[in-house]
Amino acid sequence: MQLNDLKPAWKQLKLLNALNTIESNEILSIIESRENMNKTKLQRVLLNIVIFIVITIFCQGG
Amino acid sequence: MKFEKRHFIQIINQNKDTIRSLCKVYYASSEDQKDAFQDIILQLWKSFDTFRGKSKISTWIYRVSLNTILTKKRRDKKSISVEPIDTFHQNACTAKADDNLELLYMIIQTLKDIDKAIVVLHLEGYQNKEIAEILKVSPTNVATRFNRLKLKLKMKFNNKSHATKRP
Repeated sequence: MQLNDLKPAWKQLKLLNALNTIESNEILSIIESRENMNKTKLQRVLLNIVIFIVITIFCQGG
Repeated sequence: MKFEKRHFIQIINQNKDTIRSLCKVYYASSEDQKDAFQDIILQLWKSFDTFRGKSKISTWIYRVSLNTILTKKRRDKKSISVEPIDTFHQNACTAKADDNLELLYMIIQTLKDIDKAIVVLHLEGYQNKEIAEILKVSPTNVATRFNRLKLKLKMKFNNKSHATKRP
């Protein structure tokens, strides 16, 4: 038994998986969900910074 | 749609067989395969800017995909992936029709994650040096692992054939 004997099987597996079509929209939604997530993260960070500044300015003791 | 995205989608479409096959090799359930597929697409997109065509597109796809899967596997290690053999075989439904394909699944199932990657890359025709570059390990490491794998397979199949020969 040689590993090379399995090369046709690997090719066959790839061929079988090539039959499943993948929509452009599917790929786009994966990519864009990430971009949106990054945007939301940035928005959240900015909001937190603003809240922190407001609190430190207006809520000083003494 | 931007040209960059269109180009990326085109590349993914041309290499979807590779990505899907890798997901099947590492994950038994279709949900896990889908998750891994999405992770790989994301990582490929993230590194798309830095890909300058120094290596072949297929090599880049293998590098990113395998490293994504191996990192994901390491991360998920705490919920040890006890993939039931039955499920694995059910998922390899088409394998039933072909002995070689079934054998490939059977062999791959017994290997460690990094060894699976070495076997797949070998089947894809990569040399030890290239495999080492893709997996970010030393060529000696790949050569040692590969020799051990070959020995293990030889022993396993010799034992099997002896067992079947016995009355």
